Amino acid sequence: MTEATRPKSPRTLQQKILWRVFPIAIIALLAIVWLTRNGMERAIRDEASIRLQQNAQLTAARISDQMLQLRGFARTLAANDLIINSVVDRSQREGQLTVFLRSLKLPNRAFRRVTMADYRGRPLVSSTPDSDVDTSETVEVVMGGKEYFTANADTILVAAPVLYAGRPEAIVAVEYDSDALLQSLFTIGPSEYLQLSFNGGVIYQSNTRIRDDRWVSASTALNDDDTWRVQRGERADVAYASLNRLSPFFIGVIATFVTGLLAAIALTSRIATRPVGQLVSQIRSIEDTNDLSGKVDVEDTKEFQDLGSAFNRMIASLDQKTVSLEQLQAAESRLRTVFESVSNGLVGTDTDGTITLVNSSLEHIFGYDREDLLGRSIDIIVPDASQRTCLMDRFNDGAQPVQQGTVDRQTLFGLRNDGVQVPVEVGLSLVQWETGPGIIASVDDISRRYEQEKDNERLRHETQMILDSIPALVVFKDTENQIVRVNKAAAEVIGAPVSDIEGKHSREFFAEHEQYYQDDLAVMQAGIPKLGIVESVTTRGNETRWASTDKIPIYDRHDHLTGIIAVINDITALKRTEDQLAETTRAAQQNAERLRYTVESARIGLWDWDVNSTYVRVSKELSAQLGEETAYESFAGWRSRVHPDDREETEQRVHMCLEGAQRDYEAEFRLRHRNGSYRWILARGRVVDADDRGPQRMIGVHIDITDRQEDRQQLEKLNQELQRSNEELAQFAYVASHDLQEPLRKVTSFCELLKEELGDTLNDDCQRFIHYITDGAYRMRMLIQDLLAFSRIESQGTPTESVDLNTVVEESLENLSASIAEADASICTEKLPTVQGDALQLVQLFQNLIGNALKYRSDHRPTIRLAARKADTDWIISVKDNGIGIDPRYHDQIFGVFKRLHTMDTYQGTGIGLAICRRIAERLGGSIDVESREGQGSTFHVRLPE
Amino acid sequence: MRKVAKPVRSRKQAGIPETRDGGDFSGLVFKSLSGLSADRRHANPFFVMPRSYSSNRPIVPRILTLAVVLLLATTGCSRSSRESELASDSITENWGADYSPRPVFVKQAFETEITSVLSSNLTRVHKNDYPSSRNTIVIGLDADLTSASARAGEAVQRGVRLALQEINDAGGVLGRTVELISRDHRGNPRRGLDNVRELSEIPNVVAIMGGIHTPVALEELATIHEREIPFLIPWAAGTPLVSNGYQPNYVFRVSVRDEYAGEFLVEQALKSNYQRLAVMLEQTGWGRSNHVAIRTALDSRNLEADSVQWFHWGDPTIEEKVNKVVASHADALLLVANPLEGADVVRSMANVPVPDRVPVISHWGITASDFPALVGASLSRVNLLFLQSYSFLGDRATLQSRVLVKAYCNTYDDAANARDIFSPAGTAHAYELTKMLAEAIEDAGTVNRRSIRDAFEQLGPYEGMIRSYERPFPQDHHDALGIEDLRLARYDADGVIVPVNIAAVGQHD
Repeated sequence: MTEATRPKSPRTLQQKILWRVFPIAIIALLAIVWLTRNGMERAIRDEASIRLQQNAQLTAARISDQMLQLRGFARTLAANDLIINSVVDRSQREGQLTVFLRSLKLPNRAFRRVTMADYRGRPLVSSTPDSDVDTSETVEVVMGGKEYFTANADTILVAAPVLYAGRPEAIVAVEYDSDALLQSLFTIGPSEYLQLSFNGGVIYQSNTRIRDDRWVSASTALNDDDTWRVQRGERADVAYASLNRLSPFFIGVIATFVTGLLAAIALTSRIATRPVGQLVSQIRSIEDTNDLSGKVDVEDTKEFQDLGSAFNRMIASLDQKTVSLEQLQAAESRLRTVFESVSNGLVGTDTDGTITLVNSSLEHIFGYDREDLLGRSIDIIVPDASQRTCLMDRFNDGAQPVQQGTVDRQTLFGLRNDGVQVPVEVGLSLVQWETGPGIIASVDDISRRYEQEKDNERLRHETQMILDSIPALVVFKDTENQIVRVNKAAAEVIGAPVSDIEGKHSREFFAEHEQYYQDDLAVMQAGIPKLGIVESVTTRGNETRWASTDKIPIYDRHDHLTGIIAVINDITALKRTEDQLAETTRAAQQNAERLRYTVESARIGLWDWDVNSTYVRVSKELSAQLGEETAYESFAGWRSRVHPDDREETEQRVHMCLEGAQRDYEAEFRLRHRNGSYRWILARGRVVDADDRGPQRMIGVHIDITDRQEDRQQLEKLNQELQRSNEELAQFAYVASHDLQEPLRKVTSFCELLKEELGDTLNDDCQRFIHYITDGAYRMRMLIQDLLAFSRIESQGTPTESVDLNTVVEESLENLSASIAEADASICTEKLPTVQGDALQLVQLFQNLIGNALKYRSDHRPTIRLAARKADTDWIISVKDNGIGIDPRYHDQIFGVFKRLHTMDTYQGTGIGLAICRRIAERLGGSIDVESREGQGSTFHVRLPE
Repeated sequence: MRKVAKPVRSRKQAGIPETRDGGDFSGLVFKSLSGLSADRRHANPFFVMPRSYSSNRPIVPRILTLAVVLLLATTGCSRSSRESELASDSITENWGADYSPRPVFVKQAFETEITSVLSSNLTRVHKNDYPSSRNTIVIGLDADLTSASARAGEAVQRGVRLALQEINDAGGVLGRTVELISRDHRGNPRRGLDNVRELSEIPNVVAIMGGIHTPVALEELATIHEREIPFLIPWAAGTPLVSNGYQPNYVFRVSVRDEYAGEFLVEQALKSNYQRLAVMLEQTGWGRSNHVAIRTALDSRNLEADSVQWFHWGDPTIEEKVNKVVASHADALLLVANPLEGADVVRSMANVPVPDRVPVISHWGITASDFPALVGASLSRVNLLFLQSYSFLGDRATLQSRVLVKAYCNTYDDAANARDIFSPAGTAHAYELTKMLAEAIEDAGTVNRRSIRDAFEQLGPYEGMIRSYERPFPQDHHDALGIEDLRLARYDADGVIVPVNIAAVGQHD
C-alpha cells in the first residue's frame, strides 16, 4: 500500500478537543467581554446623566424656593394695610407710603425696586425715582386677582394684587436684578455649566461654557412648570473618567483566560485516553481467544469501570440465548391439529381482507380447496360488499377498535363455490399476527335452522292476516294477563302499534285491566266461553268507549289452559246515538213548553203566512190584540187595518223581505182595533221557506207596544222643555253675572278715588264705612265670579281627553301652595288613575275639595289624604280630611248653590265651591257625595267613569 | 291678594336683546307679564288688568291715563306746600298710614298703569353704556356699585332712577328725556378719576352724581373743576368736598356734612349722659375731616377725647384698637368707619365683657352695606346708634315721600313697603338732587354745564321731598342740609334702619 492511497489517520482526542472547543470558547469570551464593556459604559453614562439630572433638579428646587420667597414677599407687602389704605388716601400715599417703600431694607442684595401702581398699572409710588414696570400682561394677570411673575436677563419682577373687599384694586411690583439674585444661589465649578431660561429666553448662563461640544448636560422644568427650565452640564471627560480605566482590565482578562483554556485541554485529553487504551487491549485478547466466558477489567474512573461491566454483561447474555428450534416446531404442530379438527370453519385474514389461514371445516362449508382461498380476498366467500364492509368496519374502526380476543357474532350469507348462498353465523375476533393486526372468523353453517325459522314466520303472518281481517277487536292474553296477540282493529283502538302491544301486560293499555282479568279468570276456571258482555273501556287517550265482548278460553294440544281470547265489538257509536236521541226528545219537549208559556205571558201574537194564499193563520193572542176571535185573517184585511200614515212604509218592508233584500222583517205601525181605536204594534218576521219560485212562507209576531209608545212621547216632550229651561237659565246666569261686574267695579273704583281724594281728612267712621263698601263689593264680586265659573262649566270643552289625575292633583296643590304652607298641612296622595274628562275642570274640582279641607280645618294640624279605588267600571277618588266635619243633617244641602253653614266672619267664601264640584262630576258622568260627622273630619267621594 | 304684574326693570332681565334706539317697547310689557314669578300675588278676584290692557292699548290712551296719574301726584305736591304743617302733623300721628291695607283694585290699576307706561322710559334709562340718542340729557353716576359699599351705590342709583321716572313722565327736561349712565368706582379713587374723565367727555352729560367715599371724591375734585362739570353728592360727607377752595365751586351736596356730623354726634353723646368719649376714625380724608369736626365740637365744650384711634382700610389690628378704647374707660365710642372696618369694630366690641362694653355712636358710613348681615349676631350685643339724615318711616315722611315709596315698591321687586328700602337716606338724597338738577336745567334753559352750575346757585325757594329750602345752594354754601336735618337711628330686629324715637314704639306694618 502506497503513502498516497493509505487512509488518513484519525485525529487524536487532544487535537479534536483543541479544534472543537478552543475557537468556540474564544468567540464566547470575546462576546462576553464586549457585552460587559458595553453594559458598564452604559451604566457609567447613565450614572453621569442621573447625577446631572439630580443636580438640575436640586438647582430647580433652590430656584423654586427663592421664587416662592419672592412671591411671598410681594404678597405680604400687598396685604399690608398701609398699602391698602394708600390706595384710597392720597395724602398717606404721597407721604407715609413713599417713605415706607424707600426705607424697605430687603435682605437680598439683588433687590432693586418696589413700586405701587394703580388698577391700570400706572405707577403711583416707587422706592426709586425712576419706575416703569407696567406691561399689559402684568396688569391683566394681577387685576385678575393672581400674582404675576416674569424674568429676563436683566430683571426679575414679582407683582401682587392689593385686595380690598376681596377684589384687586392696585398692584405692588417688586423688581430684582436677575444676575445678582441667581448668582448668589449657586456655586459652579470650572468643569460645570448652568443655564436658566424663563419662557424660552435665557436669563442666566454660567461663564464656563466652552465651544467644544464634548459636554454632557441635563435639563428640567421647574415644578412641572415649563416657563422655567434649568440646564446643568459637565465636561464629558470629567463625567466619563472611569470609562477610560476599563480597557487594560479587559485585555488582562482575555490573556489569562486563553492560557488557562489551553492547559485545561491538554490535561483533560490525557485523563480520557489512558483507560480507553487499557480497555481496547483487553477486548482484543477476548477476541483472540474466542472465549465468551472471558472478562475485562478496567481500574480507573467510574465511567470506565461501568463501560467494562456493560461489556461483560453483553457477553454473558449472548451466551445464554442459544435456544432449541425443535421445541417451537412441536408446539406449532399441536396447534395446527386443533385448528384443523374443530367443526366450525375458521378463516384468518389480514386487515385488507386477504385470506391468510383456512381450516378444513371451512373448505367443506364453502366447497373450496385451501389453495383456492389462501392469498385471495375474503370477497370470494362473502361477496355481498355491504355485509362484509359491515363486518370489517367493526374491526377496522380506528376510533373504537375491538379489543383483541373479543368475539362479535353475526348472521350473514356466504357464497359457496357452486354459487349457492349459505346462511352462516360468523364470530369475529381480532388477533395480532406477526405481520400486524388481523382477524380470525369462526364460521358456522346454519342452513337448517334458517329454513325452520322462515316457515314459522310465514305461519305467524298468515294468522295475523286472518285476525286483522276480523272487524272486531281480538285480544289473546295468557293466564298471567299478558297480551300475547292482538289484531289490527284492537291495536287501533288501544292506540299503539301491534308490535308495541304484544308481550306487554294488559295494565299498560287498559285502566280496568284488573276487572277484565277477574272476568277472564272466571271464564278460564269455568272452561266455558262467555259471550256478549257489554262494558265500558277507557283507552289510553282517556276516551271512554263501549264494547260488547266474547271471551273464549284457549287450550294447547295437551289440553293445558294457555290463555283466553277476547273478541270485542265496539258499540260506542250505537250507544251514543241512543243517548242523543233521548236527550234531543227531552229538550224539544221543554222548548216547546217554554215557548208556549213565553208567548202567552208576553202577550205576543203569532202569525203564519202562506205567501201563495191570501190567508194568514194567527194565534189567539194576535186576534185578541185586535178585539177579534178568528184564527185566520186575510192579508187584505190586515192591510186595511194598518193606519193610512204607516201603511206604505210597512208594506214596503214586507216586500223588501219577500224580494230577498232583507232577511228579517221588522216594522212599527198602528193597527185598527175592532172598536175603531188604533193600537201600536211592533211586528217582526222572517221568511222560513223558500224555493226557486221565491219565498213560500213567512212567520212572525205582533207585540202590542201602545203603552210604551205613549210613555216615550211624553218623556221626549218633557226633555225638550227641560233643556230649553236649562239653556235659558245658564244664559241668564252668565249674562247676569258678567254684566253685574261692571257697576260693581265702578263702586269700588270710586270708593278708592274717594279715599285717595279725601285721604287723611277722613275720620275713622268714614274710613270704616268706605272699608265696608269696598269689602261688600269685594264679596259680591267673589260671588259673581264663582257664579260665572259655575255657569261656565257646561259650556266649556268636551270631556273626551284622557286625564292623569296625578297631574291634576299636583296642579291643584301647586295652585293652593300658599294656603297649604300657611296651614302647615300634610297632604298624602296615593297613586291616582287616569280618567276621561276635562283637565281644567278636574283641577278646579280637586282644588275646591282640597281648598275646603284646608279652610274648614280643626285645631289639629290639617292632614288630607287622597285615595282611589275601583268600583265596577268607575273610579272613586276620596279626599279625606281631619277638619271640623259636617253634621249629617246638612249633607244634602252643601252641594247646593250658595249653601253656607257658617257666617262670613268664621269662614270666608261664597258657598258655591261644592256646587261647582258636583256640577263638574255630573258633567263627566260621575257623582260626588260626602261622608262626615261633626268634629270628625270629612271624606268626599268623587265617582268618575274610567 | 293678587298683585298686578309689574313690568321688568330692564330688557336684559327680561331676556330681551338690548337695542340702542329704545324704540318699540309694546311687546316688552306683554313678555314681562307672562314671565312673572308668583311673588306677592295671590288669588285676587279683583285682578283687573288683563294682559291686553297694559300691552296692546294704543299709546294715546296710555298717555291720557298717565296724565290723570300725574294730576293726582301734582295735586299731592302742591297741597303739600300749602298744608305741609298740617300734613306733617297728621303723619306724625299716623305715620304708618302708608302701610294701611293696600289692595284696592283701582289703586292697583293706577299703579299698574304707572309702571307699565313708565317701563319704556325706565328700560331706556337702565341701559348703562352710552346715551341712547343725541337728543337725550344724561346724568353720569360714579359710585361704588359692586364692592363693599355697593348698597350705597345702588341706593343712590335707585333714587336717581325714580326721580327720572317722574321727570320723564312729566315730559322730561327742556322737552328732552333724561337718562342715567352708571360707572363703578369700587371705592378706588383711581377708578373714580377715570370714570369722571370718561363721563365728562360724553357731550350730553350735564352733571355727575357721586356716591359714597370722600377719599374718591377728593381725588376727583381737580378734574371736576378743570372740566367744569357739576358734581352732585348724595352721600360722601367730607367737609373739604364742598368747602374745597375752588371758585366757582362745581360741587353741590344734599347729604351730611362732617362738620355738622361731628357736632351732632358729640351733642347726642353728651345728651345721653356720656361724658368721656373715645373716637375711632379711618386714616383717610374722610376720617381726618371728621377728626377736625369732632375736635372742634369737643374744644367748644372744653372737652377732650379720652382716646383717639386711627385705623387703615383692611387694618388687621382693629380689635387691639377697640381694646385700647375700652381700656381708656370711655363712656361712648364715636365711630367713623366704612362697612368692613365698622363691622370689625362692632364685632370686636361685642367680644368685650358686658360691664366694659362701650356703646357705639357711628357716622353713617356703615349703612352703605347690609351691615346687620355683615356683623351677624354680634349686632344685638352692642348698643349701636348711627347718624341718618332721612327716613321714609319717620315723622318727616311727606306725601311726596309716600308717592316715592309707592313707585319704589312698584319698580323694585325686593321691596313691598317702606321698611324694605335699604340705605334710605342715599335714595332720598339722590332723588332730591336729581329733581333739583332738573329744576336747575329748566331754570338755565340750556344744557351748558356752566349755566347749570349757576342755576343751581340761584335755585329756590324749593319744595323738596326731604324738606323745604329757602335756597338750597347759595353761592357761599353748597350744602343743602343742615345740622337740624340730622338724627340718630338704629337697626331694628329685622335689620331695618329706624329712627330712634320710633324704634321705641315698636314694629309697624
